[in-house]
Amino acid sequence: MITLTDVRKSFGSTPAVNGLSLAVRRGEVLGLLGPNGAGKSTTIAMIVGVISPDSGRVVLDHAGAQHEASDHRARSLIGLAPQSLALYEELSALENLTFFGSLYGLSPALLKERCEAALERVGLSDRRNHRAGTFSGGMKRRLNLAAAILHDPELVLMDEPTAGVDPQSRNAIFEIVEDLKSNGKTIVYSTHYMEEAQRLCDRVAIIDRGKLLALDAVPALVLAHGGQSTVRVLHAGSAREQLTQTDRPLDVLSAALSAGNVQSATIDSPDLENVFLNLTGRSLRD
Amino acid sequence: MTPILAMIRKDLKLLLRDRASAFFAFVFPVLFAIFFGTVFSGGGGGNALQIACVDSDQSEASQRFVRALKNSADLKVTDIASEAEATRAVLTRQQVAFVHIPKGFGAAQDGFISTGKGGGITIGIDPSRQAETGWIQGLVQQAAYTQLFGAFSDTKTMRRQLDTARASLAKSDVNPAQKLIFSQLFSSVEALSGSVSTLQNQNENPSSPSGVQSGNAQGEPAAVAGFQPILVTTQSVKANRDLPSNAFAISFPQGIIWGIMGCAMGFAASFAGERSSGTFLRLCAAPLTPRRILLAKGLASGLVMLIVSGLMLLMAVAVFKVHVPSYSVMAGCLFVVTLAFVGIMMFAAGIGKSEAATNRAGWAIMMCLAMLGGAAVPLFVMPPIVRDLSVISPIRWAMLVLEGGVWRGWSFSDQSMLVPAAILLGIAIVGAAAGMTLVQRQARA
Repeated sequence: MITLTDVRKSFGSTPAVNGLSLAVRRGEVLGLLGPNGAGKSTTIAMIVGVISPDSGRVVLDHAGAQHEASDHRARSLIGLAPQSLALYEELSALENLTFFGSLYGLSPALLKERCEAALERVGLSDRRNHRAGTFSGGMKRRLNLAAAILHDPELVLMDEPTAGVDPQSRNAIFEIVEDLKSNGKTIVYSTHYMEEAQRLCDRVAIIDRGKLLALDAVPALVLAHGGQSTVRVLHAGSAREQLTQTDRPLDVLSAALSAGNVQSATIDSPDLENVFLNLTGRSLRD
Repeated sequence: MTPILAMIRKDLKLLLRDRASAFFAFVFPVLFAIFFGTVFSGGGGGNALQIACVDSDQSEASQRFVRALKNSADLKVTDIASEAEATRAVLTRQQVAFVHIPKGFGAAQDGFISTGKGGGITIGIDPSRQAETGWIQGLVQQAAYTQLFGAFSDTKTMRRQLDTARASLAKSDVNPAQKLIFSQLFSSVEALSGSVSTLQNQNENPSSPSGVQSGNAQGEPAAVAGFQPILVTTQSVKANRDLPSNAFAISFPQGIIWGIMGCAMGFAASFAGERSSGTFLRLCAAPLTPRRILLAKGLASGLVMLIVSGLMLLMAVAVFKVHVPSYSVMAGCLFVVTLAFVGIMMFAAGIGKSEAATNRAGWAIMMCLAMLGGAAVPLFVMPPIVRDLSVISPIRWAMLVLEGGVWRGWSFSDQSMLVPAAILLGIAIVGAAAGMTLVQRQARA
């Protein structure tokens, strides 16, 4: 649905996106995983067309027609939930949604129906007439997301949608993403939390310093770049665990158990954190 | 609802819910106009001087004198018991001056002619108040003359005064020749007083056979009119067209400018705030261009400016009796000024990085331009060199257009109006174009 071809963007002398090429398939949830400053938000801004790349192309493909991202007419296909909360705090939840929905040319009746549905979906129906400024961080994030899906877009871009959010709201947002996916929407999900990428994304693009380091499904990424598993065995009477790096953790565990005298044993499988560490030499949290 | 109308409606809602912005757009300009209009019109209590009066004599003559002072429309007289208290009142600026009528004033009046001993009135006033000093002296003398002239028509009082004067003369050490002269004078005055009294009686009784014409053009009795030392008449002089008819005709155009500036800065700051808060990003993600977003902001601000200026004009005309020669010309003036400030707003929105920075820098610049342009001190009272310098301020041209519509009596066929109007339209076009270009460039950067 979206194709980025050798996209580059610099702000001053700092390259934010440096030769990024990737394609987003229709109906998938593509994760953009990387630390702060990796270029995720800039990539999303270029996909939605609010920033023009210095070079390269961003193309949206819908119903057989191709649109450049800079074509503002293509934006009705896109819903954006930006990283900074894009809400008017002096307006109520319903007023915010009514205003944003009216920008997409929805008829009054349809707009009303969509606003109610969106509020219901994000669990804010009972707060529809409360000013957005009175909401908690999690509620604002949910309202932010509601404004993105109000006009039923084909493509939803979410830039760190769970930043600063309580666990309850976080789970609610996960459920919304999963619900959108089950309805056939295409989602680009930017995050620096690997557990979110692992839970929600069909494929994950590992990005660091504006470059795409790897793009694949999570199991494939882990297999290719995660490195070996670690088997940790604590023998009875011993103060220290015995660590074994191996590609065959079950065999190692079985052998340790057979030898006997095992107090505890654990297998640490590689995850996206290991993938990022092996690809960049740095931790995802750095 | 079209996106632009939706954005205008949203901005109006936000303005009304932001109390600070609403205050500077709607309330502050009105307060400014009323305050300065009242100050420059003299405070509403007329121009009467507030003076204290100490009557230490408490005689019939002194009380008559005090009444004459109180009857003057130019004085607001407060009775005070002692000179010390009156002095304190002047020192603490509760009163402009005091008038002290000393003991012996009545007796000295009965002496007909002041001998320089007793009876003299003292005026206590700050020596720096030279104009007020002259004014009060004149009013006191006027009251004294009024009493003197009145005495000529009161035969009984005049006779008593003459008797007292003759008694004083007899006791004095004036030489006999001079005594004879004064004696003849007193006799002549007595005879004159008698004639005046007779004439006055005849005026009051129209059936009198004397045939003497009664009164002068001002309606005063002929006897009193004849005793005026100087005949003073009042001639009507029509006010110069280049000056306003009342102080509110100056202050309300100034207030309108402050209101329009408040709207412009408020909307420019809110646009900058949207860019830093993230809502601008969401607006750009919609099927809208940055130019359309700024245009909608401009239209919203223009609408508010017209509402504010229209309401203020209505108040000026209905409540403060400001005369507007032509409402159609005035509407054109408001429209042209509004366009100019919408252009300024769009330019400021284009360069503003954040709400706070736009507010600070915007108001700092606008305040300077406002002072220079006549929004605080009227253009027509500025020295020529400052008036020449004010050409760089858009406020000057806006003030000229507004003043032209309110009290200068210009129309759009007058060059005096066309030139500032054309400059304002130029400001509108340049400001709007520059703002849109900046916003478009920054959005795509």
